[in-house]
Amino acid sequence: MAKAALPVVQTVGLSKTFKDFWRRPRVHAVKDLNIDIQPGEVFGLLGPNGSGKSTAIKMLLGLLYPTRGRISVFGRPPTDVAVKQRIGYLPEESYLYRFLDARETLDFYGKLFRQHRQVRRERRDMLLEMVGLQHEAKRRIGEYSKGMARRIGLAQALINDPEFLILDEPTSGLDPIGTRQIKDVIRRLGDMGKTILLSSHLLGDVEDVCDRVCILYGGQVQAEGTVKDLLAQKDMTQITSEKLSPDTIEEIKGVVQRRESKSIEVATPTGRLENLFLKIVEDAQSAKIATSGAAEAGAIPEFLGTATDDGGAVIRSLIEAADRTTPTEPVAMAEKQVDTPKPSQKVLDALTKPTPAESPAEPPTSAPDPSKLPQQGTTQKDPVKANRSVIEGLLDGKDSGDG
Amino acid sequence: MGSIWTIARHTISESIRSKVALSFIILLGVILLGLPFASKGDNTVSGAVQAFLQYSVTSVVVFLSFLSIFLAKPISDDLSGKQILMLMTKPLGRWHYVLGRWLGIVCLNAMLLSVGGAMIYGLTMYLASKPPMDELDAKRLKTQVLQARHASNVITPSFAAAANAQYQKNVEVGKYSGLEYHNKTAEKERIRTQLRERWRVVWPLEVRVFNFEDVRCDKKPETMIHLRYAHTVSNYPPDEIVKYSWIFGSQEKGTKVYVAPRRDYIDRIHTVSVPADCVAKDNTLRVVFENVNPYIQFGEAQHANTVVFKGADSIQVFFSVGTFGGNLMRALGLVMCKLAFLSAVAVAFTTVFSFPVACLGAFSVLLLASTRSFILDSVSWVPEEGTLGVVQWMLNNMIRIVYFILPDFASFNALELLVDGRNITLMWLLMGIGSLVLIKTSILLLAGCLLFMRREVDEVSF
Repeated sequence: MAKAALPVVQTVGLSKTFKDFWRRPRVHAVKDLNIDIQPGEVFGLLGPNGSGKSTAIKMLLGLLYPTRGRISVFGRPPTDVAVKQRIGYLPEESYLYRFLDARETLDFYGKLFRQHRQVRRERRDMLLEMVGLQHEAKRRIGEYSKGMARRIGLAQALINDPEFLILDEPTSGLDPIGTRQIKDVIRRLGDMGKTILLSSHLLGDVEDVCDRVCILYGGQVQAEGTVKDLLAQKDMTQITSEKLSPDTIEEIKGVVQRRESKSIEVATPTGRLENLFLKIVEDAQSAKIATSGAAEAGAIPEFLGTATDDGGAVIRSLIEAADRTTPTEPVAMAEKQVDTPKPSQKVLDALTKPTPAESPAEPPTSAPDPSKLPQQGTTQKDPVKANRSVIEGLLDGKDSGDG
Repeated sequence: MGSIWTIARHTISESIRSKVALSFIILLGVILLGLPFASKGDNTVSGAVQAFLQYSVTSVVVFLSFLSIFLAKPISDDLSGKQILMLMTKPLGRWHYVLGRWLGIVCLNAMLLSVGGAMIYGLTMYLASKPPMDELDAKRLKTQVLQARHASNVITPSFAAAANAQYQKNVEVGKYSGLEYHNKTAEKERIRTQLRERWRVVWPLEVRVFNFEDVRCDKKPETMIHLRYAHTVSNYPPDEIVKYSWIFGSQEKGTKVYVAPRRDYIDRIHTVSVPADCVAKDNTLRVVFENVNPYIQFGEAQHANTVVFKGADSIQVFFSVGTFGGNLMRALGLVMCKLAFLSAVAVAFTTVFSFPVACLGAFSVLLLASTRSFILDSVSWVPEEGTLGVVQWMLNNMIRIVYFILPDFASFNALELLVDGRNITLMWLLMGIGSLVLIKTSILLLAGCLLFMRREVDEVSF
């Protein structure tokens, strides 16, 4: 019998209570957290501010000590120095030395991994190119914009070619193109077999890159499962088509009404602002318009794994894919709502509605196989125990800070 | 060790780029460069050199002591600015971090001390190259300032047997009968001290032989040894001058004998220089003091004065054992030991407290370590009787415990010897390294590492 792979991270009954000066319990930041992160998995930790995401991560890194429970990272305590040789960490803000420039920063962190000077220099240059800061490498970090600091923060997290990458709000402070680049890098690193723990309250980020997510609220796990399972709307059907004539649409409506006694909504889809923005920037970069910000992202360094494409090409392909899908955006067909949904439900529906442009790797949504659809009036056993009210609560949250 | 050195280098780089360190360095440089032009002393070149040495070394010690404390600020910055989160997620043990920070501060101190020392040496040589006021000034500069002289104290007889005999005699005559309290040992010691002091009193026409041991000088005639003494007299003559002779050497031991008749002012320090071939091969030196008062002048007896040498160090023989440069290096070495200790104090405090608190604590340690004898003397005078007795007893013992941990900076202060051209021994430096660095600094760093390993390095905001 094949031996099961050891989880990269395993927590058992992990709890953290912050106490005040008089040692009185003040805040229960994390309560009885049990998570396993398997090798090669991109694991998302979701939650609003104060949900315990960062506290959990800091306990995984040995920066905070648990009040109760047990943590193992690569089968060892998180305070073990040897474990840190295999970890890369990007905190929620890039806590870098302002007086160092980008090269010195990467060089300094490389030295802490006892890397040979030649290796260090090579990695430093490759990472600077990857994050698009090769032309700003001699500027002090203190002069960087927040987005540029995030990029160099990501570069330092990768300096040791980590097996396990912990990213806390990696896209915070980044412009859309930077966000797309970072997400692409995460996805590519995931493809290369890296284990990634991504913490965010930006649902789109997590949805785009994570294999499995865990939603925290009040320091406790509210839902856990694959993104696909969590987001599946099993009571909806979506049909996508090229532009149809009004007659055809009327006919389809009639068919649906006759056979299913349900109404459908027909709309002309619009393109996404993100895609438009990316296209404009792409055009500007092609025209070589001067900018003091980060340059176009380069290739993922070879030392991180086998890179088959460069980041810029990926972005271009994404934009092209998005452009191609624009005229064929799905015509949503939904059951007529009897009750007006609550505002939060509307937001939830809008956010969880599959958008082909956001997942170009997926084939265009076709009509679902009726045999695989749940029968009306029957209940299908959901493999994921998701507390929808909590998700709604998350989506209601107006916070934009860290959790 | 690699990680420690990486952090140390980072600390040096960070400190050099920080404005606090830079302003300290610039200010120190300006002061050192300005001091030669401000140092006048007693308007002699030797006096100016001594004044410059006094002020320049003091300036370096004060500035670098303060800087050692301020240089621990990056640790506090790492904690408040959360750079520590990035560091502690790298393969860097917490003790590596603490030791690295300390090593960085110590290395920077060593660099600055070297630069400061080189400046002091260069500027001293510049001052010494100025034309002397007179021949005496030139001689004093050469033999008493820019020198590393060893001092041998005169061997005082034990007088234990004499003290015993005197005590027995006192008992027999009933001197102590009727006394409420009488301590035999203390009384014997008092008599012994009295006899020793009397031995340093030379009556008119009396001769006293002073013997010195361990005079390990080059015994060539061209090498000079120096007898330094200070005396007072029982009656002050009108001109405040007494006459006597010093006779150096011993014919029995086959050395040259030199006679030095003197007419010296009272209550001042005097030096007599003679060739070193009066020192015996066994490194002993015999010096005879001949109190020729009263002497006859114009048919009348003059000032029948008794000469008194107060204290064991009132007569010393000096001889050269090294150079001024070597002496300066050893003096700065002792300063470095203190700076290493202070850096450890600052680092250990900063790993636990916020920077202002750590700073205050480190300055308190500096103050306490510099005033150890004064404070210990003060507490020993506190009465331990009455209602407050228990509190006073506790306070006294608490202070003694604190001083058991804290070093005595005064006992490693070589400045006085440096200015006086006296040898700062390598053994003293090694004792400084052992006591201040290897023991006290190690204990502090160990405590700092343990406390830092126990603490959570992040404060979570909600």
